[in-house]
Amino acid sequence: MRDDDPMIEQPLERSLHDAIASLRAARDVPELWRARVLQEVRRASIARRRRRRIALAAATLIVVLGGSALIVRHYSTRAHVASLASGRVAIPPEAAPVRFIFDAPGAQRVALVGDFDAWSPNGRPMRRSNDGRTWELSVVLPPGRHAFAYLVDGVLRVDPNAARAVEDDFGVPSSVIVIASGRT
Amino acid sequence: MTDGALVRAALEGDDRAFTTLVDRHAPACLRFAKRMLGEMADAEDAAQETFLRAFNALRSYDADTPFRTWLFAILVNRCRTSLLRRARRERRVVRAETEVEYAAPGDEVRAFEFRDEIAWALAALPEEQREAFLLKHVEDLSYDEMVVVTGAGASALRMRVKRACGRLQVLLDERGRNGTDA
Repeated sequence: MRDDDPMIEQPLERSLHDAIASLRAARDVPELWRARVLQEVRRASIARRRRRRIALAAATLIVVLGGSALIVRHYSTRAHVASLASGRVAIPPEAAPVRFIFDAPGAQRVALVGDFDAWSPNGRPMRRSNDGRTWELSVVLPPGRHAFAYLVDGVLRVDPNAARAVEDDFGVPSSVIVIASGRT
Repeated sequence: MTDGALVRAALEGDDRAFTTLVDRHAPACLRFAKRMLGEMADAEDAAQETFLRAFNALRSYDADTPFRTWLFAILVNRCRTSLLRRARRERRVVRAETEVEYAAPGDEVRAFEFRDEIAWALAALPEEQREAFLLKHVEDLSYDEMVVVTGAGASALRMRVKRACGRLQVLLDERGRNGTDA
């Protein structure tokens, strides 16, 4: 057989062996990346469940009432839900500023992250108060349920004064704020 | 709990089951994507897209195939797409031999740590060889699994791995000699 026969596995020399060992070293999974992935999965899961429910409801309505007019309504509802899930809905006029305040004495950088900006890796930087203990930020949010967390020097923290995401669907530590509609 | 059982649980509506799959496979996915793409941001995007696609396609998963193999098939495709996009944007990864020679000598390069040398040597490999080498020697896939993941034949994959090993050996030896001479 020839030396370059690929069926023959040559023993690896030490330098290459060491290189492979180095390449195999485990990588830490960035916490915020994990949160972002699970948030996207959660969003896809919710959209899928809604689509199923709407399809079922529409099918039931069609069976009960009949008539082609209902088909138009079903598709328009589905499109609305899909656009909500993809985050492409414009901020409605009833959106209003919400002030986030978090105690993090000694922190160098605190940022607000949440599903309202797709868990952006850097988040929205918060302002340190004069006493250096609390961090503040105002964000305009539309009515609805919003999951959020604070990124304190690269570590995700939930807000102890806010409701914890009870279901914590996919394991992302997050707090929840619910903005009621009809505010002025 | 096995991957197969977690997939079944996820399909039955257990959201935490998919989280466990993410936690179990994310380190390897990020490692492979980082070695393939070089840039961590690109690697994170490719791995994120992989898990999202896997979740959306979970019903099409065939339990006869190991979940990791199925996931890596998606990941390899995402990495290839990312490399194609990058090639259209700009040519960042050093590939041609002349460029490798250009990158090799110099005090700055000699100061690189061992890991950087490996990353450099990997980036100097053609994409197909880099992909096959990483799947075989770093992710420890069998050639049968690699056939499923890459869509290439087993003998072609063996040849790619063999060439990659030979080329990496040469590059690392050259770098070692340069470091000793300095």
